[in-house]
Amino acid sequence: MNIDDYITSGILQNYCFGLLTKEEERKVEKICTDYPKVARELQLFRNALKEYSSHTKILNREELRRATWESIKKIWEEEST
Amino acid sequence: MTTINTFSSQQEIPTISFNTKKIIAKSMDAAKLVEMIQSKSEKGFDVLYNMYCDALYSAIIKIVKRTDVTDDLLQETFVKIWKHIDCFKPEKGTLYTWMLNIARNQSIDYLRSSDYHKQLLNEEIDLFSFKFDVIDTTKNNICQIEFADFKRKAKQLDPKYAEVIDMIFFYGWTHKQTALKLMLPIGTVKTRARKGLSLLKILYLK
Repeated sequence: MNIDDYITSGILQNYCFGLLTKEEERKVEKICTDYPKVARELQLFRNALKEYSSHTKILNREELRRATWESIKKIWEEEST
Repeated sequence: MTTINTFSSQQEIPTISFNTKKIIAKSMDAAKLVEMIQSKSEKGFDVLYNMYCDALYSAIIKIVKRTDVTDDLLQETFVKIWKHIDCFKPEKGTLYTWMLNIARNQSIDYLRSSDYHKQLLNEEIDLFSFKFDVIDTTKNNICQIEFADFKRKAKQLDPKYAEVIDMIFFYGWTHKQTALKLMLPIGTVKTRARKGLSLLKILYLK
C-alpha cells in the first residue's frame, strides 16, 4: 500500500467526522499502529477539529461550572433517596 | 481524487514527535477520565469540565445560536455525562465524540421542543409590535463578543467549507443529508468536507 496515497485519499478526514463504518474504523486504526506517519497525520486532523470546535470561549465559565456541579450533586441526592 | 488533498503532500512535516505510543497513552487518559467521572469527585469534575467545556459549548451554540439556551444545555449535557457514564463504550469511539454526541442530541432536542417554538413565536410578536431593536438589546440574544469571534474565525475558513464541516461534525449529518440540505451534489459535499478539514489542519498548525 502506498502510504502517501492513503493519507490523501480522504479516509482520515472521514474517520474524524465519524462517517466510516465500524469495520472501516478498525482498519484505519490498524494502519495507524502499523504506520506512524498515518497516525501522525490523523492526530493533526483531530487536533484541527478540536481547535476549530473550541474557539468559542465561555464568558461565565466559573459561574456555570459551579451551577453544573450543583445540578450533578442534586441528581445523586435524588438517586440515593 | 488526486486534486483533492494536495495539502498534506505539499506540506513540510513538522518536527513534532509523534509515535503510536502516544495514541495508546491517549486512550489510557480516557480510561482515567472515565474513572474520574465514576469516582463522583469534584476534582474529577473540574478536570473534565475545564478540558471540554469550551468545545462542547461551541458545539451547542452552533446549533441553538443563543447564549442563554447554550448555558442551560451545557449544564444538562454535563449532568447527562455524569449520569450515563456507564453507557460509554471505549471500543465504540473516543470519550470526546461520545460527549459531543450528547451535546448535539440535547441541542437538536431543544430545537424540536415546544420551548423553542414558543420563543420563536414571542420574537415574531415583538417584531409585530415594532420593537425592531429587541433582537439587539435583549441579553437573551447572541452576545456581541461571541459574534465577533465567529466572524474572525469565519474569515480564516471559507464559509463554503465551514458550513459543510459544521453540518457533518456538529450536527452529525451524513454526506447525503448535508448534500440534500445544501442542495449540492454529494461529490461536492465530500470534496468540501475533506478539503475543509485539510485547510483547518494547516490553519491550526501555525
